[in-house]
Amino acid sequence: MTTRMKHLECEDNLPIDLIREILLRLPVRLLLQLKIVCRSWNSLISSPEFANHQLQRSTLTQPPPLLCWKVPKRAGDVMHCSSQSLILDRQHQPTTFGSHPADGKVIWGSCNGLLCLLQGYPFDTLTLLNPSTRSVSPSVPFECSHKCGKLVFFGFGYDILHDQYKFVMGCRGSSLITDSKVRSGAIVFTFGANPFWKTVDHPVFPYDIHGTSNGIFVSGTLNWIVYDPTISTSYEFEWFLLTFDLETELFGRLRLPVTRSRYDLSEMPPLQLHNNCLSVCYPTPHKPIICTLWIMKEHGVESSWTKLLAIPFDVGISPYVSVASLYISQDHNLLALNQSDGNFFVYNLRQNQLVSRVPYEHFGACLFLCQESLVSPSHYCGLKTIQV
Amino acid sequence: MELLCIRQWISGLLPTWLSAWCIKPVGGALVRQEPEYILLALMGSPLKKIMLCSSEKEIFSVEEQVMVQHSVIINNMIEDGSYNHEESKIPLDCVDSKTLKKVIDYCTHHTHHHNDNQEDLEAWDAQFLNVDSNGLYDLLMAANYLEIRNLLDLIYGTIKNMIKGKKIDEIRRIFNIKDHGFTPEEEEQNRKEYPHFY
Repeated sequence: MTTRMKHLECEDNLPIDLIREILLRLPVRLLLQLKIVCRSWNSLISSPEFANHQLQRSTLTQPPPLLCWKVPKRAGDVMHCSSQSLILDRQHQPTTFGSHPADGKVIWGSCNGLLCLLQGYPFDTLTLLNPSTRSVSPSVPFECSHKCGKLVFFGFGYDILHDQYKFVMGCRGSSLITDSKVRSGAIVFTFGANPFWKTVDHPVFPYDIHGTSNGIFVSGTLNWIVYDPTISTSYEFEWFLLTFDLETELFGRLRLPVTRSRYDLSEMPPLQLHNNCLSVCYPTPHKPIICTLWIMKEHGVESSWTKLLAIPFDVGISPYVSVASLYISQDHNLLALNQSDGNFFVYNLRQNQLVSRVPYEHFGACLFLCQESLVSPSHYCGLKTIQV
Repeated sequence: MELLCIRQWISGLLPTWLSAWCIKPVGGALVRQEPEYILLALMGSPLKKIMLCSSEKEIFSVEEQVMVQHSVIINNMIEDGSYNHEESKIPLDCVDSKTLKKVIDYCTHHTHHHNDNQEDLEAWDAQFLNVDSNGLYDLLMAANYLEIRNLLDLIYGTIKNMIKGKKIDEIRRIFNIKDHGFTPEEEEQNRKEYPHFY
Protein backbone atom coordinates (compact mmCIF):
# COMPACT_ATOMS: atom_id res chain seq x y z
CA MET A 1 0.00 0.00 0.00
CA THR A 2 1.54 3.31 -0.96
CA THR A 3 0.01 6.30 0.72
CA ARG A 4 1.44 9.71 1.06
CA MET A 5 1.15 9.57 4.79
CA LYS A 6 1.61 12.62 6.89
CA HIS A 7 2.69 12.26 10.46
CA LEU A 8 0.38 11.04 13.13
CA GLU A 9 1.09 14.19 15.08
CA CYS A 10 -1.32 13.94 17.92
CA GLU A 11 -2.15 16.65 20.39
CA ASP A 12 -2.60 14.05 23.05
CA ASN A 13 -0.53 10.91 23.24
CA LEU A 14 -1.95 7.66 22.01
CA PRO A 15 -3.05 5.49 24.92
CA ILE A 16 -0.49 2.82 25.80
CA ASP A 17 -2.71 -0.08 24.76
CA LEU A 18 -2.92 1.28 21.22
CA ILE A 19 0.87 1.77 21.20
CA ARG A 20 1.09 -1.84 22.30
CA GLU A 21 -1.09 -3.00 19.41
CA ILE A 22 1.12 -1.11 16.97
CA LEU A 23 4.33 -2.52 18.45
CA LEU A 24 3.01 -6.10 18.52
CA ARG A 25 2.84 -6.02 14.74
CA LEU A 26 6.50 -5.16 14.32
CA PRO A 27 9.42 -7.57 13.79
CA VAL A 28 11.80 -8.33 16.67
CA ARG A 29 14.79 -6.56 15.20
CA LEU A 30 12.88 -3.29 14.86
CA LEU A 31 11.41 -3.66 18.36
CA LEU A 32 14.88 -3.92 19.89
CA GLN A 33 15.75 -0.64 18.23
CA LEU A 34 12.50 1.03 19.32
CA LYS A 35 13.36 0.35 22.94
CA ILE A 36 15.48 3.50 22.89
CA VAL A 37 12.66 5.80 21.72
CA CYS A 38 11.48 6.47 25.26
CA ARG A 39 11.36 4.89 28.67
CA SER A 40 7.73 3.77 28.52
CA TRP A 41 8.36 1.99 25.21
CA ASN A 42 11.47 0.45 26.77
CA SER A 43 9.52 -1.03 29.72
CA LEU A 44 6.73 -2.17 27.43
CA ILE A 45 9.01 -3.97 24.98
CA SER A 46 11.17 -5.44 27.76
CA SER A 47 8.23 -6.86 29.69
CA PRO A 48 7.85 -10.68 29.66
CA GLU A 49 4.11 -10.37 28.89
CA PHE A 50 4.86 -8.37 25.77
CA ALA A 51 7.49 -10.93 24.75
CA ASN A 52 4.96 -13.75 25.06
CA HIS A 53 2.26 -11.87 23.12
CA GLN A 54 4.75 -10.95 20.42
CA LEU A 55 5.74 -14.62 20.22
CA GLN A 56 2.11 -15.71 19.82
CA ARG A 57 1.48 -13.14 17.08
CA SER A 58 4.60 -14.04 15.17
CA THR A 59 3.71 -17.73 15.33
CA LEU A 60 0.68 -16.80 13.26
CA THR A 61 2.58 -14.76 10.67
CA GLN A 62 5.59 -17.12 10.53
CA PRO A 63 8.49 -14.78 9.85
CA PRO A 64 11.76 -16.37 8.68
CA PRO A 65 13.54 -18.15 11.55
CA LEU A 66 17.19 -17.90 12.48
CA LEU A 67 19.46 -20.82 11.75
CA CYS A 68 21.77 -21.56 14.68
CA TRP A 69 24.69 -23.89 15.07
CA LYS A 70 27.74 -24.38 17.23
CA VAL A 71 31.10 -24.10 15.53
CA PRO A 72 32.53 -27.61 15.93
CA LYS A 73 35.61 -26.64 17.89
CA ARG A 74 35.97 -26.80 21.65
CA ALA A 75 35.94 -23.04 22.19
CA GLY A 76 33.79 -22.36 19.14
CA ASP A 77 31.02 -19.78 19.15
CA VAL A 78 27.32 -20.27 18.69
CA MET A 79 26.63 -18.80 15.27
CA HIS A 80 23.37 -17.74 13.75
CA CYS A 81 22.11 -16.23 10.54
CA SER A 82 18.73 -15.24 9.23
CA SER A 83 17.13 -17.74 6.86
CA GLN A 84 15.76 -14.75 4.98
CA SER A 85 19.27 -13.52 4.24
CA LEU A 86 20.19 -16.97 2.91
CA ILE A 87 17.16 -16.94 0.65
CA LEU A 88 18.14 -13.53 -0.69
CA ASP A 89 21.83 -14.38 -0.83
CA ARG A 90 23.48 -14.22 -4.20
CA GLN A 91 27.16 -14.92 -4.72
CA HIS A 92 28.21 -11.33 -4.26
CA GLN A 93 26.13 -10.64 -1.16
CA PRO A 94 27.57 -12.21 1.98
CA THR A 95 25.20 -13.36 4.67
CA THR A 96 25.78 -11.68 7.99
CA PHE A 97 26.37 -13.98 10.89
CA GLY A 98 25.95 -13.28 14.55
CA SER A 99 28.06 -15.06 17.09
CA HIS A 100 28.09 -15.59 20.83
CA PRO A 101 30.96 -16.92 22.89
CA ALA A 102 30.02 -20.37 24.04
CA ASP A 103 33.19 -21.61 25.76
CA GLY A 104 32.65 -25.32 25.66
CA LYS A 105 28.86 -25.28 25.54
CA VAL A 106 26.85 -27.11 22.91
CA ILE A 107 23.31 -26.39 21.64
CA TRP A 108 20.94 -29.11 22.82
CA GLY A 109 17.58 -27.55 22.04
CA SER A 110 15.67 -24.60 20.62
CA CYS A 111 12.25 -23.33 21.63
CA ASN A 112 10.43 -19.99 21.33
CA GLY A 113 13.58 -18.16 20.35
CA LEU A 114 15.67 -19.57 23.19
CA LEU A 115 18.58 -21.96 22.75
CA CYS A 116 19.38 -24.41 25.51
CA LEU A 117 23.13 -24.88 25.85
CA LEU A 118 24.79 -27.66 27.83
CA GLN A 119 28.34 -27.88 28.95
CA GLY A 120 30.20 -31.14 29.41
CA TYR A 121 29.18 -34.63 28.35
CA PRO A 122 27.83 -35.89 30.73
CA PHE A 123 26.71 -32.59 31.75
CA ASP A 124 27.93 -29.85 34.04
CA THR A 125 25.73 -26.81 33.40
CA LEU A 126 22.64 -25.64 31.55
CA THR A 127 22.37 -22.14 30.05
CA LEU A 128 19.68 -20.36 28.03
CA LEU A 129 20.60 -17.98 25.21
CA ASN A 130 18.40 -15.73 23.07
CA PRO A 131 20.41 -15.00 19.89
CA SER A 132 18.04 -12.23 18.75
CA THR A 133 18.37 -10.12 21.88
CA ARG A 134 21.86 -11.40 22.63
CA SER A 135 20.91 -12.05 26.24
CA VAL A 136 21.99 -15.07 28.19
CA SER A 137 20.95 -16.54 31.51
CA PRO A 138 23.40 -17.45 34.23
CA SER A 139 24.53 -21.07 33.98
CA VAL A 140 22.60 -23.48 36.16
CA PRO A 141 24.49 -26.47 37.55
CA PHE A 142 23.35 -29.82 36.18
CA GLU A 143 22.98 -31.62 39.49
CA CYS A 144 20.95 -34.67 38.89
CA SER A 145 21.15 -37.90 40.86
CA HIS A 146 19.61 -39.81 37.97
CA LYS A 147 22.63 -40.83 35.94
CA CYS A 148 21.56 -41.55 32.38
CA GLY A 149 25.01 -42.03 30.95
CA LYS A 150 25.81 -40.86 27.48
CA LEU A 151 23.25 -42.63 25.29
CA VAL A 152 20.35 -40.31 25.89
CA PHE A 153 17.47 -38.70 24.11
CA PHE A 154 16.60 -35.17 25.16
CA GLY A 155 14.56 -32.09 24.38
CA PHE A 156 14.00 -28.47 25.42
CA GLY A 157 10.50 -27.05 25.41
CA TYR A 158 7.91 -24.73 26.91
CA ASP A 159 5.05 -25.60 29.24
CA ILE A 160 2.35 -23.13 28.18
CA LEU A 161 0.08 -23.65 31.18
CA HIS A 162 2.72 -23.09 33.85
CA ASP A 163 4.78 -20.59 31.80
CA GLN A 164 7.97 -22.57 32.39
CA TYR A 165 10.78 -23.92 30.25
CA LYS A 166 11.78 -27.54 30.73
CA PHE A 167 14.59 -29.83 29.69
CA VAL A 168 13.74 -33.53 29.30
CA MET A 169 16.17 -36.41 29.18
CA GLY A 170 15.97 -40.18 29.20
CA CYS A 171 17.91 -43.31 28.38
CA ARG A 172 17.85 -44.54 24.84
CA GLY A 173 16.83 -48.14 24.38
CA SER A 174 20.38 -49.04 23.36
CA SER A 175 21.81 -47.46 26.52
CA LEU A 176 24.28 -49.53 28.51
CA ILE A 177 22.79 -48.48 31.85
CA THR A 178 21.71 -51.60 33.67
CA ASP A 179 19.83 -50.03 36.56
CA SER A 180 16.23 -50.65 35.53
CA LYS A 181 14.94 -47.75 37.59
CA VAL A 182 17.14 -45.37 35.65
CA ARG A 183 16.34 -46.98 32.31
CA SER A 184 12.63 -46.80 32.92
CA GLY A 185 12.48 -43.23 34.11
CA ALA A 186 12.85 -40.03 32.11
CA ILE A 187 13.87 -36.88 33.94
CA VAL A 188 12.56 -33.34 33.58
CA PHE A 189 14.41 -30.23 34.65
CA THR A 190 12.23 -27.16 35.17
CA PHE A 191 13.94 -23.77 34.86
CA GLY A 192 12.96 -21.01 37.24
CA ALA A 193 13.84 -19.22 40.45
CA ASN A 194 13.76 -22.61 42.19
CA PRO A 195 14.79 -25.06 39.49
CA PHE A 196 14.19 -28.74 40.17
CA TRP A 197 14.57 -32.20 38.70
CA LYS A 198 11.72 -34.69 38.57
CA THR A 199 11.41 -38.28 37.40
CA VAL A 200 8.49 -38.99 35.10
CA ASP A 201 6.91 -42.14 33.83
CA HIS A 202 8.64 -43.61 30.87
CA PRO A 203 6.47 -44.78 28.01
CA VAL A 204 5.46 -48.40 28.41
CA PHE A 205 5.81 -49.26 24.77
CA PRO A 206 9.29 -50.40 23.70
CA TYR A 207 11.16 -48.01 21.49
CA ASP A 208 14.64 -46.93 20.47
CA ILE A 209 15.98 -43.87 18.71
CA HIS A 210 17.97 -44.22 15.52
CA GLY A 211 19.88 -41.14 14.52
CA THR A 212 19.00 -37.74 15.97
CA SER A 213 18.20 -37.86 19.65
CA ASN A 214 17.20 -34.18 19.81
CA GLY A 215 13.49 -33.59 20.39
CA ILE A 216 11.50 -31.14 18.31
CA PHE A 217 9.24 -28.72 20.19
CA VAL A 218 5.82 -27.94 18.76
CA SER A 219 2.54 -26.96 20.43
CA GLY A 220 3.66 -27.64 23.99
CA THR A 221 5.10 -31.07 23.17
CA LEU A 222 8.50 -32.58 22.43
CA ASN A 223 8.72 -35.13 19.66
CA TRP A 224 11.17 -37.78 18.47
CA ILE A 225 11.07 -40.37 15.70
CA VAL A 226 11.59 -43.81 17.23
CA TYR A 227 11.24 -47.41 16.17
CA ASP A 228 9.89 -50.44 17.94
CA PRO A 229 12.84 -52.82 18.34
CA THR A 230 10.66 -55.81 19.23
CA ILE A 231 8.93 -55.96 15.87
CA SER A 232 11.63 -54.50 13.62
CA THR A 233 14.06 -56.50 11.54
CA SER A 234 17.33 -55.39 9.95
CA TYR A 235 15.55 -54.21 6.83
CA GLU A 236 12.15 -53.19 7.99
CA PHE A 237 11.61 -50.91 10.95
CA GLU A 238 8.32 -50.10 12.60
CA TRP A 239 8.64 -46.32 12.99
CA PHE A 240 6.44 -44.03 15.02
CA LEU A 241 6.46 -40.64 16.70
CA LEU A 242 7.20 -40.47 20.41
CA THR A 243 5.63 -37.38 21.91
CA PHE A 244 5.98 -35.85 25.39
CA ASP A 245 3.44 -33.34 26.67
CA LEU A 246 5.32 -30.75 28.73
CA GLU A 247 2.23 -29.76 30.68
CA THR A 248 0.99 -33.17 31.77
CA GLU A 249 4.53 -34.66 31.61
CA LEU A 250 3.21 -37.78 29.92
CA PHE A 251 4.54 -39.71 26.95
CA GLY A 252 2.41 -40.75 24.00
CA ARG A 253 2.79 -42.15 20.51
CA LEU A 254 1.59 -41.01 17.10
CA ARG A 255 1.70 -42.51 13.63
CA LEU A 256 4.02 -41.14 11.00
CA PRO A 257 2.77 -40.37 7.49
CA VAL A 258 1.90 -43.49 5.58
CA THR A 259 4.05 -44.02 2.54
CA ARG A 260 3.56 -46.70 -0.01
CA SER A 261 7.07 -47.95 -0.58
CA ARG A 262 8.73 -50.26 1.91
CA TYR A 263 12.02 -48.65 0.96
CA ASP A 264 10.92 -45.37 2.47
CA LEU A 265 10.70 -46.89 5.89
CA SER A 266 14.10 -48.47 6.23
CA GLU A 267 16.13 -45.27 6.12
CA MET A 268 14.27 -42.79 8.28
CA PRO A 269 15.21 -39.14 7.82
CA PRO A 270 15.29 -36.86 10.89
CA LEU A 271 12.21 -35.21 12.29
CA GLN A 272 12.14 -31.47 11.71
CA LEU A 273 10.18 -28.35 12.23
CA HIS A 274 8.79 -26.62 9.20
CA ASN A 275 6.76 -23.42 9.48
CA ASN A 276 5.77 -24.49 13.01
CA CYS A 277 4.65 -27.99 12.06
CA LEU A 278 6.43 -31.31 12.47
CA SER A 279 7.86 -32.38 9.15
CA VAL A 280 9.63 -35.33 7.60
CA CYS A 281 11.41 -35.20 4.26
CA TYR A 282 11.43 -38.69 2.75
CA PRO A 283 14.12 -39.41 0.14
CA THR A 284 12.92 -41.32 -2.88
CA PRO A 285 15.97 -42.02 -5.01
CA HIS A 286 14.34 -44.57 -7.29
CA LYS A 287 11.50 -42.39 -8.42
CA PRO A 288 11.45 -39.24 -10.57
CA ILE A 289 11.47 -37.09 -7.45
CA ILE A 290 14.31 -36.60 -5.02
CA CYS A 291 12.32 -36.22 -1.85
CA THR A 292 8.82 -35.61 -0.55
CA LEU A 293 8.09 -33.29 2.32
CA TRP A 294 5.27 -34.20 4.68
CA ILE A 295 4.01 -31.94 7.45
CA MET A 296 1.68 -32.62 10.34
CA LYS A 297 -0.69 -29.69 9.91
CA GLU A 298 -2.45 -30.18 13.21
CA HIS A 299 -0.27 -31.55 15.93
CA GLY A 300 -1.65 -34.68 17.52
CA VAL A 301 -4.04 -35.37 14.67
CA GLU A 302 -2.59 -38.33 12.76
CA SER A 303 -4.83 -37.79 9.76
CA SER A 304 -3.46 -34.27 9.31
CA TRP A 305 -0.18 -35.49 7.82
CA THR A 306 -0.13 -33.76 4.44
CA LYS A 307 2.22 -34.12 1.51
CA LEU A 308 3.42 -30.57 1.10
CA LEU A 309 5.75 -30.79 -1.88
CA ALA A 310 8.04 -33.00 -3.89
CA ILE A 311 11.37 -31.86 -5.27
CA PRO A 312 11.89 -33.35 -8.72
CA PHE A 313 15.07 -34.90 -10.13
CA ASP A 314 15.83 -32.46 -12.87
CA VAL A 315 16.44 -29.25 -10.96
CA GLY A 316 20.17 -29.33 -10.62
CA ILE A 317 20.27 -31.13 -7.30
CA SER A 318 21.99 -34.46 -7.64
CA PRO A 319 19.91 -37.50 -6.79
CA TYR A 320 20.45 -39.78 -3.81
CA VAL A 321 20.84 -36.81 -1.50
CA SER A 322 19.52 -36.35 1.95
CA VAL A 323 17.65 -33.07 2.13
CA ALA A 324 16.67 -31.19 5.26
CA SER A 325 13.93 -28.75 4.43
CA LEU A 326 14.12 -25.65 6.63
CA TYR A 327 11.65 -22.94 5.71
CA ILE A 328 9.24 -21.85 3.00
CA SER A 329 8.95 -18.10 2.59
CA GLN A 330 5.79 -16.24 1.61
CA ASP A 331 7.11 -15.80 -1.90
CA HIS A 332 7.31 -19.58 -2.30
CA ASN A 333 11.05 -20.00 -1.88
CA LEU A 334 12.08 -23.19 -0.10
CA LEU A 335 15.31 -23.00 1.87
CA ALA A 336 16.82 -26.42 2.45
CA LEU A 337 20.11 -28.03 3.33
CA ASN A 338 21.59 -30.69 1.12
CA GLN A 339 23.04 -32.92 3.79
CA SER A 340 25.12 -34.90 1.33
CA ASP A 341 27.22 -32.05 -0.04
CA GLY A 342 26.84 -29.44 2.65
CA ASN A 343 25.20 -26.65 0.67
CA PHE A 344 22.11 -24.68 1.42
CA PHE A 345 19.91 -24.35 -1.59
CA VAL A 346 16.93 -22.20 -2.43
CA TYR A 347 14.25 -23.74 -4.64
CA ASN A 348 11.34 -21.74 -5.98
CA LEU A 349 8.15 -23.77 -5.73
CA ARG A 350 6.13 -21.78 -8.23
CA GLN A 351 8.71 -21.69 -10.98
CA ASN A 352 9.98 -25.19 -10.08
CA GLN A 353 13.60 -24.23 -10.32
CA LEU A 354 16.72 -23.94 -8.26
CA VAL A 355 17.39 -20.31 -7.38
CA SER A 356 20.74 -20.43 -5.61
CA ARG A 357 23.25 -22.48 -3.64
CA VAL A 358 25.17 -21.25 -0.61
CA PRO A 359 27.93 -23.31 0.98
CA TYR A 360 27.51 -24.18 4.64
CA GLU A 361 31.00 -23.77 5.98
CA HIS A 362 30.32 -25.57 9.23
CA PHE A 363 28.98 -28.66 7.54
CA GLY A 364 28.58 -31.39 10.10
CA ALA A 365 27.44 -29.12 12.92
CA CYS A 366 23.88 -29.74 13.99
CA LEU A 367 21.56 -27.01 12.71
CA PHE A 368 18.78 -25.60 14.88
CA LEU A 369 15.90 -23.43 13.76
CA CYS A 370 15.26 -20.60 16.18
CA GLN A 371 12.42 -18.07 16.01
CA GLU A 372 13.30 -14.44 16.52
CA SER A 373 11.76 -13.50 19.83
CA LEU A 374 12.07 -11.18 22.80
CA VAL A 375 11.79 -13.94 25.40
CA SER A 376 14.21 -13.25 28.20
CA PRO A 377 16.44 -16.18 29.29
CA SER A 378 17.09 -14.71 32.71
CA HIS A 379 13.41 -14.08 33.41
CA TYR A 380 12.77 -17.80 33.07
CA CYS A 381 15.66 -18.53 35.39
CA GLY A 382 14.02 -16.24 37.92
CA LEU A 383 16.43 -13.34 37.52
CA LYS A 384 16.73 -9.97 35.84
CA THR A 385 18.13 -10.04 32.33
CA ILE A 386 21.87 -9.76 31.69
CA GLN A 387 22.76 -8.08 28.42
CA VAL A 388 25.69 -9.67 26.61
CA MET B 1 -29.77 -12.61 4.25
CA GLU B 2 -32.52 -13.02 1.64
CA LEU B 3 -32.40 -9.31 1.00
CA LEU B 4 -29.05 -9.72 -0.75
CA CYS B 5 -30.47 -12.35 -3.08
CA ILE B 6 -33.38 -10.13 -3.94
CA ARG B 7 -30.93 -7.32 -4.52
CA GLN B 8 -28.85 -9.37 -6.93
CA TRP B 9 -31.97 -10.40 -8.84
CA ILE B 10 -33.11 -6.83 -9.12
CA SER B 11 -29.69 -5.61 -10.22
CA GLY B 12 -29.88 -8.04 -13.12
CA LEU B 13 -33.13 -6.40 -14.27
CA LEU B 14 -32.08 -2.79 -14.11
CA PRO B 15 -30.52 -0.75 -16.93
CA THR B 16 -27.17 0.86 -16.13
CA TRP B 17 -28.36 4.43 -16.78
CA LEU B 18 -30.53 4.15 -13.73
CA SER B 19 -27.52 4.26 -11.40
CA ALA B 20 -26.91 7.86 -12.44
CA TRP B 21 -30.28 8.76 -10.92
CA CYS B 22 -29.78 7.08 -7.63
CA ILE B 23 -28.37 9.50 -5.16
CA LYS B 24 -29.45 9.57 -1.56
CA PRO B 25 -28.19 10.84 1.75
CA VAL B 26 -26.10 8.33 3.66
CA GLY B 27 -24.27 9.27 6.81
CA GLY B 28 -24.89 12.93 6.43
CA ALA B 29 -23.52 13.18 2.89
CA LEU B 30 -25.01 12.65 -0.52
CA VAL B 31 -23.55 9.52 -2.05
CA ARG B 32 -24.32 7.43 -5.05
CA GLN B 33 -26.53 4.58 -3.97
CA GLU B 34 -27.07 1.27 -5.73
CA PRO B 35 -30.37 1.34 -7.64
CA GLU B 36 -31.41 -1.95 -6.09
CA TYR B 37 -31.73 -0.32 -2.70
CA ILE B 38 -33.79 2.55 -4.10
CA LEU B 39 -36.10 0.07 -5.74
CA LEU B 40 -36.46 -1.89 -2.54
CA ALA B 41 -37.24 1.32 -0.70
CA LEU B 42 -39.85 2.20 -3.31
CA MET B 43 -41.27 -1.31 -3.01
CA GLY B 44 -41.96 -0.51 0.61
CA SER B 45 -39.35 -2.72 2.28
CA PRO B 46 -36.75 -0.25 3.47
CA LEU B 47 -33.61 -1.62 5.04
CA LYS B 48 -33.60 -1.10 8.78
CA LYS B 49 -31.84 2.03 9.85
CA ILE B 50 -30.22 3.06 13.11
CA MET B 51 -29.29 6.51 14.38
CA LEU B 52 -25.81 7.39 15.52
CA CYS B 53 -25.20 10.65 17.38
CA SER B 54 -21.79 12.33 17.26
CA SER B 55 -20.13 14.30 20.06
CA GLU B 56 -21.36 17.48 18.31
CA LYS B 57 -24.93 16.17 18.63
CA GLU B 58 -25.31 15.57 14.89
CA ILE B 59 -27.44 12.57 13.93
CA PHE B 60 -26.40 10.12 11.24
CA SER B 61 -28.78 7.57 9.84
CA VAL B 62 -27.14 4.37 8.65
CA GLU B 63 -28.23 0.85 7.75
CA GLU B 64 -28.26 -1.37 10.80
CA GLN B 65 -26.78 -4.25 8.82
CA VAL B 66 -23.74 -2.17 7.86
CA MET B 67 -22.84 -1.12 11.40
CA VAL B 68 -23.64 -4.48 12.94
CA GLN B 69 -21.29 -6.21 10.52
CA HIS B 70 -18.36 -3.97 11.37
CA SER B 71 -18.68 -2.61 14.90
CA VAL B 72 -18.62 -5.09 17.76
CA ILE B 73 -19.88 -2.39 20.16
CA ILE B 74 -22.91 -1.51 18.05
CA ASN B 75 -23.59 -5.17 17.32
CA ASN B 76 -23.67 -5.92 21.05
CA MET B 77 -25.97 -2.98 21.76
CA ILE B 78 -28.46 -4.14 19.16
CA GLU B 79 -28.26 -7.79 20.19
CA ASP B 80 -28.81 -7.19 23.87
CA GLY B 81 -31.82 -5.06 23.07
CA SER B 82 -30.60 -1.83 24.62
CA TYR B 83 -31.32 -0.07 21.33
CA ASN B 84 -34.94 0.72 20.54
CA HIS B 85 -35.44 1.39 16.82
CA GLU B 86 -38.40 3.70 17.19
CA GLU B 87 -36.94 6.23 19.57
CA SER B 88 -33.29 5.66 20.37
CA LYS B 89 -30.14 7.02 18.96
CA ILE B 90 -26.75 5.68 19.92
CA PRO B 91 -24.69 8.46 21.51
CA LEU B 92 -21.02 8.36 20.55
CA ASP B 93 -19.56 11.11 22.69
CA CYS B 94 -15.96 10.22 21.81
CA VAL B 95 -16.41 10.59 18.08
CA ASP B 96 -16.88 13.93 16.31
CA SER B 97 -19.07 14.37 13.22
CA LYS B 98 -16.27 14.49 10.69
CA THR B 99 -14.75 11.23 11.97
CA LEU B 100 -18.10 9.50 12.38
CA LYS B 101 -18.96 10.31 8.78
CA LYS B 102 -15.66 8.75 7.65
CA VAL B 103 -16.23 5.65 9.76
CA ILE B 104 -19.73 5.17 8.39
CA ASP B 105 -18.38 5.69 4.89
CA TYR B 106 -15.79 2.93 5.47
CA CYS B 107 -18.29 0.45 6.86
CA THR B 108 -20.86 1.17 4.16
CA HIS B 109 -18.35 0.78 1.37
CA HIS B 110 -17.00 -2.49 2.73
CA THR B 111 -20.47 -3.96 3.20
CA HIS B 112 -21.69 -3.02 -0.25
CA HIS B 113 -18.45 -3.80 -2.05
CA HIS B 114 -17.32 -6.90 -0.21
CA ASN B 115 -17.39 -8.87 -3.46
CA ASP B 116 -15.02 -6.53 -5.23
CA ASN B 117 -11.57 -7.80 -6.07
CA GLN B 118 -8.75 -7.31 -3.61
CA GLU B 119 -6.88 -4.67 -5.65
CA ASP B 120 -9.90 -2.40 -5.94
CA LEU B 121 -10.62 -2.64 -2.23
CA GLU B 122 -7.00 -1.89 -1.37
CA ALA B 123 -6.96 1.10 -3.68
CA TRP B 124 -10.14 2.42 -2.06
CA ASP B 125 -8.63 1.89 1.42
CA ALA B 126 -5.49 3.76 0.43
CA GLN B 127 -7.56 6.69 -0.81
CA PHE B 128 -9.71 6.52 2.34
CA LEU B 129 -6.66 6.87 4.59
CA ASN B 130 -5.31 9.84 2.69
CA VAL B 131 -6.11 12.13 5.59
CA ASP B 132 -4.20 14.69 7.57
CA SER B 133 -2.34 14.20 10.85
CA ASN B 134 -5.23 14.66 13.23
CA GLY B 135 -7.62 12.77 10.98
CA LEU B 136 -5.68 9.52 11.26
CA TYR B 137 -5.44 9.87 15.04
CA ASP B 138 -9.20 10.50 15.33
CA LEU B 139 -9.99 7.56 13.06
CA LEU B 140 -7.80 5.25 15.14
CA MET B 141 -9.46 6.32 18.39
CA ALA B 142 -12.94 5.97 16.86
CA ALA B 143 -12.21 2.54 15.36
CA ASN B 144 -10.81 1.40 18.71
CA TYR B 145 -13.84 2.70 20.61
CA LEU B 146 -16.34 1.13 18.22
CA GLU B 147 -14.18 -2.02 17.90
CA ILE B 148 -14.11 -2.13 14.11
CA ARG B 149 -11.53 -4.86 13.55
CA ASN B 150 -10.75 -4.44 9.87
CA LEU B 151 -10.47 -0.65 10.06
CA LEU B 152 -8.14 -1.02 13.06
CA ASP B 153 -5.95 -3.51 11.19
CA LEU B 154 -5.84 -1.14 8.23
CA ILE B 155 -4.78 1.83 10.36
CA TYR B 156 -2.23 -0.23 12.33
CA GLY B 157 -0.75 -1.45 9.06
CA THR B 158 -0.38 2.12 7.86
CA ILE B 159 1.24 3.26 11.11
CA LYS B 160 3.60 0.27 10.95
CA ASN B 161 4.72 1.44 7.51
CA MET B 162 5.16 4.94 8.85
CA ILE B 163 7.54 3.72 11.56
CA LYS B 164 9.75 1.53 9.39
CA GLY B 165 12.93 3.20 8.25
CA LYS B 166 12.40 6.39 10.25
CA LYS B 167 14.97 8.01 12.49
CA ILE B 168 14.41 8.22 16.23
CA ASP B 169 13.49 11.89 16.37
CA GLU B 170 10.95 11.42 13.57
CA ILE B 171 9.35 8.59 15.52
CA ARG B 172 9.30 10.70 18.66
CA ARG B 173 7.56 13.46 16.70
CA ILE B 174 5.02 11.05 15.16
CA PHE B 175 3.97 9.84 18.59
CA ASN B 176 4.30 13.21 20.29
CA ILE B 177 6.95 12.00 22.72
CA LYS B 178 8.31 15.21 24.15
CA ASP B 179 10.27 13.73 27.02
CA HIS B 180 11.97 10.42 26.35
CA GLY B 181 12.82 9.93 30.04
CA PHE B 182 16.42 8.74 29.60
CA THR B 183 19.36 10.27 31.45
CA PRO B 184 22.07 11.91 29.32
CA GLU B 185 24.37 8.94 30.05
CA GLU B 186 21.69 6.51 28.88
CA GLU B 187 21.06 8.55 25.72
CA GLU B 188 24.79 8.48 25.03
CA GLN B 189 24.82 4.70 25.42
CA ASN B 190 21.80 4.35 23.14
CA ARG B 191 23.46 6.53 20.52
CA LYS B 192 26.52 4.26 20.55
CA GLU B 193 24.45 1.14 20.19
CA TYR B 194 22.29 2.32 17.29
CA PRO B 195 24.16 5.14 15.56
CA HIS B 196 22.22 4.79 12.31
CA PHE B 197 18.95 5.27 14.13
CA TYR B 198 19.82 8.84 15.15
